Amino acid sequence: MELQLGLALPVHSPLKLKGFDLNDHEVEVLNEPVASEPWSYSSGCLKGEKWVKNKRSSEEAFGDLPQITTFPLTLWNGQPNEDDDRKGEKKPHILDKKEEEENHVVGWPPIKSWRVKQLHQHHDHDQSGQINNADRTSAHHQRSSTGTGSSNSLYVKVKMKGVAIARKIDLRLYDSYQALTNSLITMFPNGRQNIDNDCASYALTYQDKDGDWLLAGDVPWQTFTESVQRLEILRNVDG
Amino acid sequence: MPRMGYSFPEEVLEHVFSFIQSDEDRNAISEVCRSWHDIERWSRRRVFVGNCYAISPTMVIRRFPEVRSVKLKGKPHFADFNLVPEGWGGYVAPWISAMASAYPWLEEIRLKRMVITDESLELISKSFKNFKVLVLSSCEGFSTDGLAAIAANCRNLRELDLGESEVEDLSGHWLSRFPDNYTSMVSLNIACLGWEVSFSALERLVGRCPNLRTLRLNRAVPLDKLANLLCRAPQLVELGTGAYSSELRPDVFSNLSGAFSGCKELKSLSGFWDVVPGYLPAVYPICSKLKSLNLSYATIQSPELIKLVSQCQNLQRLWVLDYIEDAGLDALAASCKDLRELRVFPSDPFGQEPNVPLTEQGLVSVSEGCPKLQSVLYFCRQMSNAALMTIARNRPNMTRFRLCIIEPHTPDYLTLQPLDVGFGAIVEHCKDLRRLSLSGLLTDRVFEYIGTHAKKLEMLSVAFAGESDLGLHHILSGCDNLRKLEIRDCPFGDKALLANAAKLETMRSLWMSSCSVSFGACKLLGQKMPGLNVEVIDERGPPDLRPESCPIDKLYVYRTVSGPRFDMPGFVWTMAENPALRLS
Repeated sequence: MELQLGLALPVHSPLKLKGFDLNDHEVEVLNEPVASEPWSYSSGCLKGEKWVKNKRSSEEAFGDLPQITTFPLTLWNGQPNEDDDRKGEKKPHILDKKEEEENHVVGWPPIKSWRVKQLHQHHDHDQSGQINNADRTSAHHQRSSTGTGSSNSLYVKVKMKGVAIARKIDLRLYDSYQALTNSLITMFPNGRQNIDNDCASYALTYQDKDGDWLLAGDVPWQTFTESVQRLEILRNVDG
Repeated sequence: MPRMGYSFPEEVLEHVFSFIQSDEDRNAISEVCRSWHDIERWSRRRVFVGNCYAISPTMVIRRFPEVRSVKLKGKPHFADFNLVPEGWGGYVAPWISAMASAYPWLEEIRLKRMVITDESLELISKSFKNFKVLVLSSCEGFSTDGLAAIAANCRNLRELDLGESEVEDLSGHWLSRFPDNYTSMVSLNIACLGWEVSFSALERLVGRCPNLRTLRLNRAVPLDKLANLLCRAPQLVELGTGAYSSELRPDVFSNLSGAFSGCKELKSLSGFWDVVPGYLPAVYPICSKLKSLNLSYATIQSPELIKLVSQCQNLQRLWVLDYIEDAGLDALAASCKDLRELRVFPSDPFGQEPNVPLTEQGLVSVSEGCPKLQSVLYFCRQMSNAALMTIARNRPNMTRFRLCIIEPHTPDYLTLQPLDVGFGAIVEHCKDLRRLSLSGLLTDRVFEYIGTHAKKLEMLSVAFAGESDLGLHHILSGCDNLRKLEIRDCPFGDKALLANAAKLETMRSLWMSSCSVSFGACKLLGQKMPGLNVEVIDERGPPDLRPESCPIDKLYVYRTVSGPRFDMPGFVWTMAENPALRLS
């Protein structure tokens, strides 16, 4: 099977690999040169050019490394557990999405994650926003309606069939369906227990302003974010 | 000859010891003789464990049975910058359960970079009848449900400080769980909460706690509600606003301005998210009393910042974004002669080009104009040896100096030389320097200077610097008081590490990531030094599946009296004396 690196490898799934034995799992052998570098924590996708900076210093540091690196497939936490979901929207994967785009080294410059998160909220919105102080549920679905500018966040609930606990995500942090699905996949590792599934067997659906359930991806991203009320991930029943 | 032990009753000694607060002094006392050791251990009320894995809760409890205040730190500092993978550790649960039975009179828990669950919070709320202080600094793993338990059960709570923790926000109603007859809040910091808390509950809480001194709100508290809160708590000493923005309306402004003027004790301000400059003058009436101002989230431009800062003649601490520019720092240097601490954060840290005219000049100005300046954190994009030397000569009283030149390997922009001599001047002139962070282009030379001069240095952070093991050797062999060393992306390897293995037992911890330390060296270190936990952190898989000479990804070495820990995730291996333990 083909491991879709871009979607399958989580950025920040907690590794619980007690008793891990490489031989028990199928491993994917990667021949790209970039794979010879230590696979650093921040990469969601191993894009060659993104690694140039880090790569250079790593080469200086490490010298020759074996060309082939094997990656354990189950970087997921395979157990459905409350603790995992309790962490909510963990800062790292959102940050790293920005870091990927901005093409730089993990954890540099050394700014606390929490501060970076605040900064990104500033950058996304030039106008001063006012957080709607209305009740929680409506704040989930609406932007601020007070006319001083768009709200800083657009939270929607995401459920996945078979997963007890729903998540909340801020759609403002994504700019495309791809980015959204990448992130959702890292958020719902429980659903990936069966490693033979690949991404095509999941469908992302959403409930729009009118209460109808639609398949995500048909309308332009911007239109989608203006209309979406909540999300649900469904598994396609495949052969 | 009369024996001292007979002539001095225990009660008297205990009374004398109660005036001794510092751990160092108490440790010294406990080494005088057996009876002093015993009296001291029964009377120690505060314990600070700088690395939660350095000792087990059982051992602490056994030695100090009557503790009232505990402070624990978990993850290494570089966890702040996402260098420590999630799941590494720092779980406080074992400590809470041990203390729940052993310390029924525990009053204070302060945690930094630890993982704490709602279950632990609930256990805290139910186990300690006189619980007063909960400080969670950069912690994670809990939700507002845990906070609800604290609110509901801790009748004597004085301080609830969530620092910059990651809190799962399930409901804003946790604040309503404080009972109506609860009035003892002194300090409340909820600035990190992403979602709104129940505002009416907040208002009522603030209104009925007459001793409230510190109130740090979160971004979700709108500006037009702030005046209301301030009027209910005019005795506030420290305030963190919520979002500092609203449509410009004269009534809102005058309410706010009036409310601020009514706070005669206000000495510290923070918050200021989403600032609308038109509302800044509302704080002008209290500026002259301010000692601490945190504008590091305020995206306002230099002219506004200058207007504000020039009125704060008594300012001791300023945290600000680089929007202040060199010009603003000049104004700061001219107006704030009592300044002790300056932190300038980057507004666009990931941009390639400078977005504001903030250079080394700003820092030089402040170092010239502010004679009490002793603590600096400065992000900028250019630096010169000349500037560093000037700063060093101006401020020999500097104790904390952290400079971050944003682009790694940046040389002196005037001479294109490494910044070795500049930092060398810092360590040479600032003889009391306790903390230093380096950046820019640096050779092994700078480490020679550091090893030679930085004798009081306790914490050193190094990134993208040095040329060879000699650099690391200079640090480890020269810095007599070094406690914490953290290194990333430097060409330091096995030789210096192994040659200075004994040094590591005199330090709290060493972190090395993306360096050239081989797995073989780690094993050797673990075998040679039973008093250390040598943790190899590597998400590529077990290091013994690769050649021994292969560099490992991350190394975390710390001294411990309780051996390898048992809560390691699958990507952490402890190099122990006993090879069998390695696989746990």
